[in-house]
Amino acid sequence: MARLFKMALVRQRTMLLLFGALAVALPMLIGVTYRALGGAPGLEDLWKLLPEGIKALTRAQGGFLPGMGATGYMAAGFRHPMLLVLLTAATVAVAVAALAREVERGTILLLLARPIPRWKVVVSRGAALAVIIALLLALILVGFTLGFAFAGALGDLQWRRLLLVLPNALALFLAIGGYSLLLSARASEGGHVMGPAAALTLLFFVLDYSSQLWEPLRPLGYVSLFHYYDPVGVAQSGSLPWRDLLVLLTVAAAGLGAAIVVFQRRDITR
Amino acid sequence: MAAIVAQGLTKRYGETVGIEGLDLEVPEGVIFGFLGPNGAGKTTTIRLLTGFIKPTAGAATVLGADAWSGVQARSRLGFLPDVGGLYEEQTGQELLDFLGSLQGRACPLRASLCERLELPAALLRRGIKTYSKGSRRKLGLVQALQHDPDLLILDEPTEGLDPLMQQALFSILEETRARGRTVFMSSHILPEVERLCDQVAIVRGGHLVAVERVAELQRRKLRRLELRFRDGIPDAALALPGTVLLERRDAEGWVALEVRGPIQPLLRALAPLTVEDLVFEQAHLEEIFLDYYQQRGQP
Repeated sequence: MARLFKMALVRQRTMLLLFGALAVALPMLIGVTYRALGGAPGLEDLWKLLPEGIKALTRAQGGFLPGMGATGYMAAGFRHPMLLVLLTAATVAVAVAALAREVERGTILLLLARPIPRWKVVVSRGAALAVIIALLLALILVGFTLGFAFAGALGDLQWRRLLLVLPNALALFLAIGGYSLLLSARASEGGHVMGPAAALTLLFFVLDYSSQLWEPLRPLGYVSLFHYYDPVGVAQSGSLPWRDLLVLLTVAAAGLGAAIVVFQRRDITR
Repeated sequence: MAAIVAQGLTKRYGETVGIEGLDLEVPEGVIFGFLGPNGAGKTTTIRLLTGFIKPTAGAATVLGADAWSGVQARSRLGFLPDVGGLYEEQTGQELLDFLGSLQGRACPLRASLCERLELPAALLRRGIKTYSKGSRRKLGLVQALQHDPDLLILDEPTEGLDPLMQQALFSILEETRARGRTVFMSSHILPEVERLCDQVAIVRGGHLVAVERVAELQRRKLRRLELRFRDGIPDAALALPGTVLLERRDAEGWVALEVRGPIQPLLRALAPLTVEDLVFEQAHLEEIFLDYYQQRGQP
């Protein structure tokens, strides 16, 4: 299993480099803009001017608590659409490469002709996916840190609160990885996974976004995974969102479990 | 114990038949050829035997274990897929190390295989994405053979190999058999089968049509004989023993005959004739199949 896990990680090194570079660069840009916006006071003023549609992107329509300026700004950054797209793209791409792409290229035959149960292949790929997501989140944190350092606002950050955002983000992308892995487990071509996985993630996002803006859609918001991802809320509360984590990790585990069952039973054909 | 036993092995894809009711027993210590034209069901059968696909009906045992669920027996299996399928981002050496480590057995044959198949260390240190088609095939063969498996399943093993490497592979497979190992290989190239195999199975349209010893297959083999005569086609040329007329061109004094059975009576009958040119052509496997089926179809 360890060899399969290591192999799954090593195979992603080029993709990791690309996504890793973006994972540092994008949050760094966000961090750098903090001072340009006038720091905490400027941010409060700007926040009042923003339309509800923009505020809903961060799920922070209630605004930031007093003294949360830099911390709230970074927490909101974790819901920046660019970062969500980046992490979703990385998650789906790694999930696709994990199984469907291997079936498509025929490399899976080399593994399955050996004394390796299929479930081990899926679990090792799931573990590699989890590590890659965690690594990218760590790099995002590095990017934010660099950005705020350049902005001279490093001292304004409340790290204890910000670090609580990471488990929430990890759980969200593990859940996305779970269903992506499930789609990958039943597909024989990578292209057949990318579209549906990305579309489902977009649907979840739109559902969450719309439910915040339009009252009749509010109940539907609970269906969306993004409903359970609230970095600003987590940073403001200063505690782990156990209920949200439970929901997201359940989806992740269900996706992985279903992927194991599907891959165990399927025919490997091209 | 037989290395492979299939009983009523069937795979259907909806209405399409991959293989139907295959009954087969491959004894240990032989090279067994699995023959058929493209789309006959060879690769489907191999995928059933290696546990990549689940049978619709019937079952197969490979090295005594169920082909679909018997994962542990695969430590004694060596497998070469029909096409591609190597990890492009690895070097050749990394691939062999990785796959060898997954096998759960030592790889005592790797060095000698690399030497005989001309995969030098310098090449093995390079990324697989830079390899030629032939080098990829050779690497595929090494990964299948390096752990000295009890059973080798090879899907079109000579595909992409130059004639010299084909010869090297034939020698390797003959030595494998001499060590008591079993080789199950699919092919649609008859000379390759004749050279190597002890026994063959022929599939067509998803059905097993024959399991023969190679000597028996050769006895059935059709050959095409083309003759050119200096002074026109003599009547005797049209009644040569064991032949059937396929085509004649009187202006050129040329005939094409299908030869069945032994050649000695034919040569004796040809000796007094004024033969200017003679071409004795080996028949293609498809022609042999066709002839074989036609014979079977007769009452």
